[in-house]
Amino acid sequence: MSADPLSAFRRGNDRDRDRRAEHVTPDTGTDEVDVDGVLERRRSELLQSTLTAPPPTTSEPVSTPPGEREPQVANIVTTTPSAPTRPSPPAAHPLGPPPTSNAAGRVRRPAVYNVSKEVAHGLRVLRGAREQDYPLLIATALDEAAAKVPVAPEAIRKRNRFSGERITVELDPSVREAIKTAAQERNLNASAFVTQLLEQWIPSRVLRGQLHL
Amino acid sequence: MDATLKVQRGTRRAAEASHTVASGLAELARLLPTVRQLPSPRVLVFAAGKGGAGKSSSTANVGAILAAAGYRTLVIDLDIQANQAALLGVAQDPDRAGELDDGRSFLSAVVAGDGDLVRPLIEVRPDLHLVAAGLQTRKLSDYLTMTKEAERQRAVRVVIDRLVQLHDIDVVVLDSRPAGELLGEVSLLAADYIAIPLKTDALSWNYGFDTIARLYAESGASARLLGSYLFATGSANTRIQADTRRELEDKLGDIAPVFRTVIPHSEKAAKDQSESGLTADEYAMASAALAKPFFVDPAAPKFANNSDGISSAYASLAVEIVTEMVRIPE
Repeated sequence: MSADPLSAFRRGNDRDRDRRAEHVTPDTGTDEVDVDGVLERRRSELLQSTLTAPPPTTSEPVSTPPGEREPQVANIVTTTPSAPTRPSPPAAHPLGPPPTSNAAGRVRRPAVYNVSKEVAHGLRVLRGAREQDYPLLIATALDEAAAKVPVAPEAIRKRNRFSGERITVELDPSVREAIKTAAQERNLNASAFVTQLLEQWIPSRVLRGQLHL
Repeated sequence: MDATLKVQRGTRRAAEASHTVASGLAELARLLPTVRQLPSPRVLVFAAGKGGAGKSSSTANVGAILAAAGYRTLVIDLDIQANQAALLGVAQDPDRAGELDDGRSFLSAVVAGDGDLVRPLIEVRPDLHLVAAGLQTRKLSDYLTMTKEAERQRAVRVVIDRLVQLHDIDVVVLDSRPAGELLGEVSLLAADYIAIPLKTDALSWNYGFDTIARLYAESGASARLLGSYLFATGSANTRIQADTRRELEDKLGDIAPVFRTVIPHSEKAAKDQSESGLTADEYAMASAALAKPFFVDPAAPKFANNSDGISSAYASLAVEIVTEMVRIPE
């Protein structure tokens, strides 16, 4: 095979050099590139970009018609940790006011929510993407979707875990109460309510994309 | 093999792949300010002389990686098959599928010479916009056939230039028809940079390089060839890969490099990704999170074994492409 036909490509190199020579380079003001900053900003943008689901538009209670299954099993299982943990001091966060009732010495118990298979898949995908953001993802999801559940990320510890289709989240009691109250207002139990919130929040493409893989 | 050990190995592979992708993103982010100093627009086309060479997959996955690294990226699909809408998950998304217009708005814009008429799908991923194709794209080909040869490049380029300006785009990636067809030729003409995926078979050689080179020479295109790379080659064929690479390097000489990256082959990954609309990176993440050995969970979704390798490969390819883009040609 001859290399001759390819020599035409030299024209592209010539033109690229000419374009650069004619081009006035914009002054960026600095030679230093803050890669960490770019990635951090990027990570934050990615996080925000997933929060596309609007909050519920109706405040009417949502109930499951008689005879129809609720979204998966609907019960809260609570367990007592082996030793009481001392909560971190609350911090201000744009996602919502800091938890107010995590008084020192109060036992924080993890709540276990059973969510739908699709939601569990979606959360796993998102968690796999940015594990360090997971507590913030959950917190933001609840905050964005529920509106009535102000959650600071500090209120959800990093000991969240999955087992089958159950999410275990260690919540500040005030957040837990807020979820419970909001669920009751909608005639739902807490698991069904959390499932509903997360279904609205996880990008539908992620939810659906896993179904036929 | 011990099940636990096997799972751990899988996890480690995924972690390494994840690290490669993260390194790639960091390197791309580091290069971004330099890219932004290059003359704009920066239009990249993956060119091939025949179908199935890897144009569409490369477009979607490199486009997605660039966007993930913070590049404001616009993918323009000029193929009637409308692969990009499926590969980027828009066609499968009922919330967004309604925005697909079969390529009508791009056609209108080219005919009217007015880029404002295009309605791109904004943010199909963060920083990734899409001008999708469809049945109307056939009419674009018809229209350009009736346009004077000298006017074709300008007709398309003027619309792209406007889109870049309107949406502040860093890099445009074109998905085109094979170079032997009119839309493929127009893509070559409208581009600033070319990358050529190549398989190891003789047909790819004949159509992949020689046809493109002849068309390039005859059409008056002046895009810069950034490099070529082996696409979808079985990982076991290392000798064939090495032979092909050597031949390719001899052929290209000092014109352009042969990229180190080889995009691995996987029928399953290709099928799953086109059906689900997940990019290689997203597919690898889903695999790492969901895949389980059959004996652990028979009902667990099945993924391609080398999904992490494919994801890493696209990240490496994107880095090589951008590195070459910013390098001043000899």
